[in-house]
Amino acid sequence: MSWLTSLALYIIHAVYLLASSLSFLRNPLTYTSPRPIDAKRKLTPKHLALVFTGCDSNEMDNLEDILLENIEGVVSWCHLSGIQRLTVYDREAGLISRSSLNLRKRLIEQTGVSPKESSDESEIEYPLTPPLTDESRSLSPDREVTPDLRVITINATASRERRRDQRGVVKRRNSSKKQTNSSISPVTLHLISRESGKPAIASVANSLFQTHQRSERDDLNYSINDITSILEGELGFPEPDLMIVHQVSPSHPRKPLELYGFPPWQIRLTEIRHTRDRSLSKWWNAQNPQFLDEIDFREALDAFDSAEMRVGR
Amino acid sequence: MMSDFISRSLGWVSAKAQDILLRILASGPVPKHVGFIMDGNRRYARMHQQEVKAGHAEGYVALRRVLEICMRLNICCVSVYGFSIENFKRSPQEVEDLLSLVQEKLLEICQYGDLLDEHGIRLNVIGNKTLFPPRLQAASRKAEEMTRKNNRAILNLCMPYTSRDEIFTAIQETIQEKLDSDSPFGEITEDDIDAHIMTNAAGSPPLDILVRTSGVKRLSDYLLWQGCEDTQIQYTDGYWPEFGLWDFIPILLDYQRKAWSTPAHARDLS
Repeated sequence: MSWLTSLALYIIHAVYLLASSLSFLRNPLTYTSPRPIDAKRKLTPKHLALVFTGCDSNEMDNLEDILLENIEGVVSWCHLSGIQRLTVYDREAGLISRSSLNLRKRLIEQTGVSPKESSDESEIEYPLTPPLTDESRSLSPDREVTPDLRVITINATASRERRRDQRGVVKRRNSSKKQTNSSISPVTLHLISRESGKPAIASVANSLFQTHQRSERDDLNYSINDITSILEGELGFPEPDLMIVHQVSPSHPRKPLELYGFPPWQIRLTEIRHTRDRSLSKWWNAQNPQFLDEIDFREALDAFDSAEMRVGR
Repeated sequence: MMSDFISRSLGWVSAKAQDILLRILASGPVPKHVGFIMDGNRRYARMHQQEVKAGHAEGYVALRRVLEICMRLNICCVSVYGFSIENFKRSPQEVEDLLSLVQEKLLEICQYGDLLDEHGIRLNVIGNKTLFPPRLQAASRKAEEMTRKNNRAILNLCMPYTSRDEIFTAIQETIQEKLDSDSPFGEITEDDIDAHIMTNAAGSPPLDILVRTSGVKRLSDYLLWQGCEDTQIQYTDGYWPEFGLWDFIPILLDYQRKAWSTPAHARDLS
């Protein structure tokens, strides 16, 4: 009878596969397009995390360029939507971390203004944080050992100058927009990998152990808040409000959500979503990696806006 | 009479069909460890114009139903989020109602032990139990002792629990172990911390699936260390008291699809 149960199981799977494959068909009566990126929302995440999965550079040409271009796009959407912090996760620290200098250059080029454009100028500065080497570990005078958290941070600070024409009139980039005195919203970009997760927690444990060994004290005097302030402090990155998991290599139906080793400490209250199947045409172009679309981004923002946060209550 | 007969017959047919379906599903790969965030008891109660207490009681009925399904599918470890450390922020009345319900069910296990003994399930109460009142700590200890002899499956009742508290406790224990050891050399690794994670220390296998009900798309500080890698996260829209076999089938089918497509998984399962 086991062949019969196996056959029955395969039939069940075939029916499920068919149903899953058609999941991209949305009901035209109920589907509403996501709101524009810069639409006013009750809740906008301050910190967005982006997880790219299925990035096998052996299978896809120019994957690095494609991903960097996508990240550039996401940074600009963050600017438009008011998101102040973006964390991009690349599991193996290969692709994105190797390209961090290239990414910095591209971000500068993206936000720079051509001399032929209208008046406003902005300068984006990208001070570098310490490199990902053991040199980041140091002994401070009070004998504390700094853990190695493996996070690359690119801080974008912007200043805006208004150029005046000969009559002293301030020219505006877009005269229909109300002039504000604020700068372009800066976006802080964190590039992380699996090393920024469990190994970083082990590194914190190590640093606490070594600090304790060097001190004269008997008791281990630290709390959960101490761990949090290290992992989410200057050398680390804080909790994202929203995480989008995006499958770069197309598969149909879409694989269930997984986190691929994303740092566990920081996802306590994070809204975690993955982009959905939106059309079979993406699957037919299976050789081409799939960008994170602006529509995916807007849908995620809208969904976050409608989420309810109770925190235990 | 006739309507009774028909309704009994339909019930028998439904039970038989469910039994056959479970056997068919169990013939394929099954996860070793499934976690549940049992969310939505209170909203379920409000939807049915009931008191919150009644929603939690329905939630317990759902838990028994789901445990039965998991055992019949030969899933050898189930972890459920019974009570979050954050839940202490709820109204005193609700906290008291919840703790009373937990104590009542733990005592029921001690008194009858039916489902757990029938399936050889060992109960572990995972969490920072010092935060519980003494009566609940005693009930937890008694329930764990009563089922310690069972070795076919594990039920982790996480309460009062948060993942950060669990990871922090593991860090503390790892550091203390190293300080106490004869050779405190070498660096602390993630495997050292992993060994002190409470579910792992209690003998649980790696987490294969984590389910959250009620449409919420967060992990709410539950099984973060265990679930951040090689774990399928499944969200379902219905409230926990409504969760049943039909909600679980697509989750299981997704797991089986992954198992068949991953060579490492296929090796583990063989």
